[in-house]
Amino acid sequence: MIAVLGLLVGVVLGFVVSWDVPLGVEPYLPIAVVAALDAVFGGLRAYLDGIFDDKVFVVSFLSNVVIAAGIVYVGDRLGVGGQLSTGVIVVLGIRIFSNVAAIRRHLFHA
Amino acid sequence: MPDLPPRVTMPLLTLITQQSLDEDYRIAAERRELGTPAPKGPGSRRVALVVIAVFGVLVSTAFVQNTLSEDTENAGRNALIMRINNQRDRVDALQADIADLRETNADLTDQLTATTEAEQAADTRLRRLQVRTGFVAVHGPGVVLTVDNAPDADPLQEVVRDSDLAMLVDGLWSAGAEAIAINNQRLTAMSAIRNSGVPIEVNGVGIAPPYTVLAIGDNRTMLARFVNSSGGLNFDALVQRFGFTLEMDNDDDLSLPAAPQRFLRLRDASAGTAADQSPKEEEAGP
Repeated sequence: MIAVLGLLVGVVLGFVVSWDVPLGVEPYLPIAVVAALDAVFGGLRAYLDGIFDDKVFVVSFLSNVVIAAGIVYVGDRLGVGGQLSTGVIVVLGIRIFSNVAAIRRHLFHA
Repeated sequence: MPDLPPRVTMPLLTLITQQSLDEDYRIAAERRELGTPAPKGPGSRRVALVVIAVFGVLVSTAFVQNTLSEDTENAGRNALIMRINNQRDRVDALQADIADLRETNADLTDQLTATTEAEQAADTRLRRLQVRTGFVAVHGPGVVLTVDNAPDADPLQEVVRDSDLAMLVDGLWSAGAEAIAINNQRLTAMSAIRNSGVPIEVNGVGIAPPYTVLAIGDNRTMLARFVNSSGGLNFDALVQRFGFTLEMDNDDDLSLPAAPQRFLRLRDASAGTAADQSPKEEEAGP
């Protein structure tokens, strides 16, 4: 419950302030969001599994975001940014789907 | 072959699917069960809350940013489309200009052709007038008439007179002569044949018998027409009456000089412009 509250506060804050993202960081924001999404669903699944741990969640969140953005950054420098970001999205997408499937099993027992 | 860990031998997709939940959660849970409970203060809970809030900020920022940049891209696109349309209009206008200019060009070419034709006609006319009026020396086929007094003529009564020669010349003109000279004096519109005493003057220059009349024209028909013309008939009567000698010959290449300079200058008349000349206008014959 308190987590949902935190999420709401964050969303509202983002809309109200609506930071202007610097041009250099702009390409990495969407990939960072997807990575964060993965960490959030992972945390949710762990919570439903009953093995949620705050520290693990925080660390996985930060490292996911940083590594995803870093991979795309390096790819951009090497000229394969588009392909690498596709790879990152594929991996994260698979993880999100399987996590969501596990969450669904917990919630609907199906 | 040494035993490799499953994470090395496992296909990539299977690995990703199996490890979709971070292993750390499981490891941390196992560690907790082993009896070393991690210190779970309210602090770490708060950190997780902050991270969730950060996630919310990330999502909303990305959304807002994406919407904004979409607007910018659309604006750029619209500007480009507008520029394309403007340039297209310009190209259309220029092409219309080209068509107009081409039409003008064709009109001007037609005008040029017409003008050139008129110029050629005027040129031809000028040359014909110059020939007829003695402005230029000419040569061509024609006839030679040689007139002389009778050998025993009375020098006061029975010689060739100015009016006789004028009659002869009239006959030649009507027979189709284009240029006439008497004893190398070219006849023009202003030439006079007149007596000054007994001798005859042409163009103010006295000439003596025998009188050689050169006439340029179609020498296949000119003599016959001359003989049948009134001038020719009258002159023939004079020849019979006074015993003049008259020799008529064809010549294929006669040369006639131009009239003397003073006959070629227009003293009172001024030249007309091209507009004054219409094709129907009578050419001034001498």
